[in-house]
Amino acid sequence: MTNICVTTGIGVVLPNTRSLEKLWNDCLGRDESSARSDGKGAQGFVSEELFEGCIPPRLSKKLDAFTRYALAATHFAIEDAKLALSEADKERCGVFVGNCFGGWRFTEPELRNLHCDGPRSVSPFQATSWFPAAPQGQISIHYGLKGYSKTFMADRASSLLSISAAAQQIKQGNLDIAIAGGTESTNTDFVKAALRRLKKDRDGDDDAFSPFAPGRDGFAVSEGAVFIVMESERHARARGAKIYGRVEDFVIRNSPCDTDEYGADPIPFIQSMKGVCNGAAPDLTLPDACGFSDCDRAEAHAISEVFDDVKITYPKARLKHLFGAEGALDVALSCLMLERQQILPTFVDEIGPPLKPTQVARELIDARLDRILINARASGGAVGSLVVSRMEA
Amino acid sequence: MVSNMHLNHDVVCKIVIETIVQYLGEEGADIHDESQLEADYGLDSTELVCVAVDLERRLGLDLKQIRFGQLKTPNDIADAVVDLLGRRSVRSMPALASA
Repeated sequence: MTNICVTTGIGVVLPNTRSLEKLWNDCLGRDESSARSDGKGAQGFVSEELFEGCIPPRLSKKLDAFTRYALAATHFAIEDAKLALSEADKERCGVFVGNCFGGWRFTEPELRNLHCDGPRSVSPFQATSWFPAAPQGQISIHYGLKGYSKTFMADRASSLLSISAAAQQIKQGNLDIAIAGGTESTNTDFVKAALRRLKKDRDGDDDAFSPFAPGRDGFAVSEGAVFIVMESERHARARGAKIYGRVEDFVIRNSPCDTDEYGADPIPFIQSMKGVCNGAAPDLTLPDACGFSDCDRAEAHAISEVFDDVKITYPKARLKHLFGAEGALDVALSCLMLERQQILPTFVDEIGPPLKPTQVARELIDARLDRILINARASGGAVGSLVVSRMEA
Repeated sequence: MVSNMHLNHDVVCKIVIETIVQYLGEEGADIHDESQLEADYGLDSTELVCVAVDLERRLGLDLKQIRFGQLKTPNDIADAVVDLLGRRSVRSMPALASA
């Protein structure tokens, strides 16, 4: 691998948020319009008015919400990158998507139609709208991209995998440009039922989502899409692109457990973080921080074992967890923090051991940031760690 | 739903155009009897299934026997529907069918 992979554009479609400035302000708690009516963190669903006009109506009705989010976020990412795809070699442009749930917003009413009125009442777009690779296909068709592309379904680690796979293809010289990220539509009865199963006997209330806080054990999901324009450094410099950061290495490890369980073993995270950092501690870590106390405890032990006193932040405590798209959101936030040389705060009441309260950023901090580590965990025992770093202009 | 008694070619063609316009939205505002559905409006085979199912609802007819993929214009679809109706009325009168 001889090429350097850089990020040059970020696009987001999140609850009440489609601009990077608003995302930043939401993370700071400055914009209360995105907070829930009780004021506790962000609401968990996307209003499609946010990206009205981005997708032709005729195309829109063939798609599930998660694909519409992905197309809109891709549009914003390309706009942010000031990338003229018409001038690019389309055979060297790929699409990498992370997704877990697929298109249940489209599917649920169609299943009702099937049950009540028979097969003739099911939309012929059911097959193409539901499957998790739909966003990859639609982005490829919309922009005419023909390079190597892939969709990853790996639970909450999906989009960290999609971004790392895109980086690998660029580093290996197979692609000049990749559109990579993740998308989820979770505001459906089926997904809510699946998440209730995930929560099991834990606290089902969204307010219980307070990662690393003693006595808290719960999960709160959000929805939306985050896509990143990634390029080889050579390609980005040749067109004079603004560079947010560099995608370095990714390491994935596994400590197998039941497929619908999350492992509570710190060893895989110790291995993935050691493997990806190669002896050099990061300036900041964005942990998986899923809110389940046993998982968080294992990750906290792993972080404490590998790095002494590394700074930590997890804006997801306010934004809620984006599930398969969370890795991409963490990469996006890391890029913004690298650009601004500031650490976003974490909104939690309390931090439990082994993490020290001083480790967790509780307010916006000016800091020298060169390398940021991002963790993600998937059901079945997989964990992954990715490093993004600052690039000199 | 329209009574079969009133389903002559012109009526069917009007309903076909209304159905396609509803599917295409603004893109289909200028559609007419001889518009080329695929060449002029990019209506693909899956979209044509949507139109066919909606047309079935509007006409109260089972149109599964019609090969929509081979039809190019609203006029072609109207011809096929009227032809299907004709064949059905012949089948419903055994003496005529065997003649």
